[in-house]
Amino acid sequence: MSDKAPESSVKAVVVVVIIAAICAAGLAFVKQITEEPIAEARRQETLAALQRVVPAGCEIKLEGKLVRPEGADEGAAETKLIFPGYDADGQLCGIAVRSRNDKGYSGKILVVSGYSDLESRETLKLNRIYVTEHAETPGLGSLITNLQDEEPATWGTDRSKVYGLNFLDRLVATLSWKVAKSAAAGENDVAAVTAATISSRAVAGAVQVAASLVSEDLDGLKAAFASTARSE
Amino acid sequence: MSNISELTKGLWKENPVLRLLLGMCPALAVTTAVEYAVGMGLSATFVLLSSNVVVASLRNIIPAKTRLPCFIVIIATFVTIVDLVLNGFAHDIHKSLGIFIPLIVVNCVILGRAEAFASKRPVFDSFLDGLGMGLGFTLALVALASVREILGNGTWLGMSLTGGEFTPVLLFVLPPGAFISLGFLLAGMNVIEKRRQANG
Amino acid sequence: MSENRMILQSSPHARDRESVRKVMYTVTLALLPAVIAGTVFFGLRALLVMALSVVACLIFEGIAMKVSGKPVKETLLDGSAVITGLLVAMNLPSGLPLWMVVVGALVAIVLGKHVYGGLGNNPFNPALVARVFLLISFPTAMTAWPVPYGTDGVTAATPLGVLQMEGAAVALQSIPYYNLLIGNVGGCLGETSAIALLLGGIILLVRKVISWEIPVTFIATVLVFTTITWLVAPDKHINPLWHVLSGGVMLGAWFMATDMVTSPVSRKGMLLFGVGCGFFTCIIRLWAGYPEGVSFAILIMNGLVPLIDRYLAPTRFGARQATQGAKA
Repeated sequence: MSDKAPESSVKAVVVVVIIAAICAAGLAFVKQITEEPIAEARRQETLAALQRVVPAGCEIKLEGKLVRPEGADEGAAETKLIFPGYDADGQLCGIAVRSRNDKGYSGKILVVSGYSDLESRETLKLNRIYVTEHAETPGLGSLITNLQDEEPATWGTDRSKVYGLNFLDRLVATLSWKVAKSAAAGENDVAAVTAATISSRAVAGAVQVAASLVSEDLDGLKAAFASTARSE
Repeated sequence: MSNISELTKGLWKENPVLRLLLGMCPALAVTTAVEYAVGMGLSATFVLLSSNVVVASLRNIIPAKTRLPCFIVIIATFVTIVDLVLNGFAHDIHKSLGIFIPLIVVNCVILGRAEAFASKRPVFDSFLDGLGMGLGFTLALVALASVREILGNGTWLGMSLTGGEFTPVLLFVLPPGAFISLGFLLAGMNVIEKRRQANG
Repeated sequence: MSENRMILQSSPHARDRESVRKVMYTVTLALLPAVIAGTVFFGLRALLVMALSVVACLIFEGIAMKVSGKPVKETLLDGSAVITGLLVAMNLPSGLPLWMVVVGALVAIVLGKHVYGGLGNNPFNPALVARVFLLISFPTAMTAWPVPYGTDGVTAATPLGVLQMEGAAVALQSIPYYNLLIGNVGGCLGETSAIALLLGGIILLVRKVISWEIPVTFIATVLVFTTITWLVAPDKHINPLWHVLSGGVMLGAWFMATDMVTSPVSRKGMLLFGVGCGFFTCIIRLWAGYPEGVSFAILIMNGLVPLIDRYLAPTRFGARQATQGAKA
């Protein structure tokens, strides 16, 4: 037994290594086949979400993305990604921002919000929002996404049921960003989803950050995006 | 005849979740909706089937000493394949199954069948065993998910059953609901088994 | 003396139905002030919820006993299901849809008690299991608090809800202590009146159905904890008296935490149990997502009771001998 052991150990290790090598080769092959579809699916997903929040006819260009603060890691909590949307004539017609808030009931919430009427701060409009990632309680906090995959025309008017209504077609300058229970929410406040004030607050927080970023740096963004459009 | 019993034992008599109590983690975690249960069940079935066949065909080569690393490598390979393929070609399902796919690696059903069955039996038997166990796993997940989705969301496979008239019992789609439903399912299984044994 | 008290404490373990019935009768009597207060503030609807809950509990108890092949009639008469039903109702808002009340009764009796083997074997307080089940399942209905003396459908936040949403200053200003004391505030139908619950607690103490350890340490811990946070940040946190009078502390400390089946048997254990209940209540109230944490705190401590009993009962053998001696 004792003098046989080393030999069989060597064999055992060799077999494991061979099996692992074969598996690795197989995986490399599968990875190669699926790499492109995966990247494409991710791209389409992002694009679809961004496209929803800017006005119809305004086409988002993923390549024109700006990162704020500049040079920041795209995965960081404070990072905002800003995408331009151009109309058929190549004019900047909308801006979409992906921002994040970690104060949801279950942590991280990612929201994209879209802006149009970019003439000035006073005319700047929050077009629509779309929650792209969250882990809120199903049936409760998760109602922040209620009907967001449907067209706004089907949303009705009850802000406490369809959270997106709070951020649909609003003048950024008039929004108070105060989150209140729907009964107590004024016209310019945000009406929280019933029994989910924390989730509602987190989404509103993310949108507020994005909206103030766009509003404060409107001219800078316009200039930056105009030059990217020309360079293409 | 014996081949058929290798296939059918996983469905009821040795159902991995409801009789052997294996694979509890996915059974509890992804059964919030029937759709996820089907996705998880079929992915796990594919991995189980593939790993059983490969392990059975290599059973004379794999050394006894390092069999577990070998099994794990083989299983992990198939899991990664499922992960990549779903991600590339069925992105929506991949999004909802998300973190659970990598967890198939540690699904005890799969390692358990490799160790207890495939490493000792011919390829065809292992194929049937994997298929039966996988389907049994899927069946159990769907049963659990049906209870949870109907009670907790008022829907089945996304279809509304109550027309919104009934307030769903939210607890059932939350983790405690998984344990409670599983407990009652197991109790139900035991009652049926006891009756069957008493009668026959 | 303390040994004698402990026998009474653990009487549901005893198989003597008579003593169970006596205890249950006293508890019902002690709950009477809170029942009256609830009816006064929340109207006949509150009375309806209580009656329905009791009847539903009795029916489910009967079915459960029948299914598990135990004597039905005897158990129904011992009154434990009546108490459970009453306590479930005490923990519900009076405007709750009636079918949810029935679900609550079902959960309390089946999930809270009979899956563990019936009276005396349940690790968690059945009424609180039902409350938490309902709270998590129907958060909207379970947090729609009718206004005292209000008409149908008018709801308002509980004092603790106001505290969480609007802050300490608004809560202090809008809700006078007097209202907290008599129970003229929003909340579960049996938890609002601190004075009625205190009266009930005294009845339980005098009749020696409960001993002082759990309620006193529970309330004292809440007082001490919130005094510290109040002193550290007086503008952010509210004063300890307000904390003790609001929410479910009184109901929890006197009637829920003292449940004989689900609390420790030794005196040291009870002291620790009460401290734990108060501690978790404060943690949840001050820093967690829910405005109120009494029911969660008691359930958490219920879960720790076997451990507490194991490690904090050095005289376990002596105590057990005394119990047996007294019984014989």
